[in-house]
Amino acid sequence: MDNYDRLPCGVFIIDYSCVVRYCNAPFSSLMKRPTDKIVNHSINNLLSNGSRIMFQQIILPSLLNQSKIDEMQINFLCPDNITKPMIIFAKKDNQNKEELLFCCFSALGRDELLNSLNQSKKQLEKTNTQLKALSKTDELTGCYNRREMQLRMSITRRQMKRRQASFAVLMLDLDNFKAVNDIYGHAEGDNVLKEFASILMRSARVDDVIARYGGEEFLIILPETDANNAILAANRIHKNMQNIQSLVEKITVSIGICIASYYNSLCDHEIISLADKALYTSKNSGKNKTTLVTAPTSNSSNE
Amino acid sequence: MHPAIKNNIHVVGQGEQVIIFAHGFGCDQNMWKLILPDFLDDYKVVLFDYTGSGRSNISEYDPKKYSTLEGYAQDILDICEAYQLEDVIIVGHSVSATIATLAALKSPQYFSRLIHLSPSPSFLNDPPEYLGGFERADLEELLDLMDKNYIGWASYLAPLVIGGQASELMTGELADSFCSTDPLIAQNFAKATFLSDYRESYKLSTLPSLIIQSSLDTLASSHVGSYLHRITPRSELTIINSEGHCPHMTHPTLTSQAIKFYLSNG
Repeated sequence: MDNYDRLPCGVFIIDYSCVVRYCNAPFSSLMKRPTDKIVNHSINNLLSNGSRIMFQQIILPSLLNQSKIDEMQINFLCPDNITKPMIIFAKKDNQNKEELLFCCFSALGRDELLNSLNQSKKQLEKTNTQLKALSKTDELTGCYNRREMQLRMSITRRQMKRRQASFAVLMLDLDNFKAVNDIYGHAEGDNVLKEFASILMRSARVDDVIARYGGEEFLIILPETDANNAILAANRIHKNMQNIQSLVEKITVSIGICIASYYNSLCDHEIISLADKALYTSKNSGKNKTTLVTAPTSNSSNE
Repeated sequence: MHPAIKNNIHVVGQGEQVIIFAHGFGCDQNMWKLILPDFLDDYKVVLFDYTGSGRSNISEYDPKKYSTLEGYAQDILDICEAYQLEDVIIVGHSVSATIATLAALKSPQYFSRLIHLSPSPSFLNDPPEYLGGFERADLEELLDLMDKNYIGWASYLAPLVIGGQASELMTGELADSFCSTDPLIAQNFAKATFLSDYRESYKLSTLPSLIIQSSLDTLASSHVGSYLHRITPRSELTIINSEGHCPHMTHPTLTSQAIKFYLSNG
């Protein structure tokens, strides 16, 4: 084994109980401990706490299962609690079945590099998350924008099909909104839109999708909702309209609902278009009310 | 997706009584291979990989669902439902002991007994009552190390998955497909495993259980074992003469004996 002392890397051997059976001189000098303070002691004493978990949970099971591991970085513990990053390579000993052979190299430089890489990666991930959020949100109201709504509509359809449940699509349009802008100005118009959106979001369930469809038009998708529950939700919205904080004395909303069973035969834009038609029935019959239609199921041309 | 594909399920053995082996963090069902032969004659053994581990279907991985151990518990329940299992004995290693406990709390009707191998309800110290063994800084270090071994993940996870039987070409393909996703999944699993505290769940446990501990385990100390035994109703504690956190791999015979002895008594 004397020749191993001339190697340019640390070498040590442990048994299955993690007791060190041998180490060469370079390992002892890397660890800044004499050989007799290493051999016959547990390798766990030479590892930092986080690395001990890595060693027991990942490195050891991997070695026992697949016989070797390459290029893993862990932190060793030198005297005075100084941690030292090292790269290890290891394999199960083919001759002596109950021993595991390790060689290790100092990884100070690599550790610095990885630290800076990880820092940049985290920064990029953070920016990415912010950008993603921006790309699916309507800036003024904080609701989803139209593109995100379309994406979620198809996800909801798939989920409802799987769960064999119906869902409701609500189209909402603020009544006389043009007059609000004309009389009170665009700033107050924006305020009304924000207030309306917050009323919608406050009463939403976790899976509900609330989107600004355009101008003063909003669209809501209610998963696992039948006609009765959709009407209840619409009535709640009508009632909550009085909570809008605005210079405008009374703001009302017209709503069109399309109930789509999981076996409906329409595509997304046809369902939206039906809700839209229902909305215009509400508009044309005096506003501030809800109209409900059901998507046809017999025609199977689209699915 | 059927759990058979989603969770890479293998059902083996000649017996009637169902026993599920649930692997721990950083591994897959291969970790059971040394004790598996001891159970094939008398049990129907169900092996699986948690979603995101081993050869599970990664397309089914939902980061939000699997950010807590309850998400993994649902994997077990989905398997029980899909195969209409009853009276199941479940052996969970390390974090899987907690996952099995959560599954049994949610749907006790599937299970008859729980066997916890090297369990820990929480790795975090909460003095004076509880010493999980680690400070938050230690666990942050672990997460940092996992980040640093990002590149290494692919190269050692892939062969682990294959179990050393496939050609190098196939291993190479898997290494490619795991490279982009697995480190993030492993990070997420690590956070759910090491930064959580499920002591309260064990306290609510109603099924009979066995806690198996190594006499020396630097991840789950003897304090953790006796604490868990004290707080878990209807639990028994067996300490086997082994060192390390994975006695089923390092001391398979002792581990099988402990499990079988418990199961043979009532």
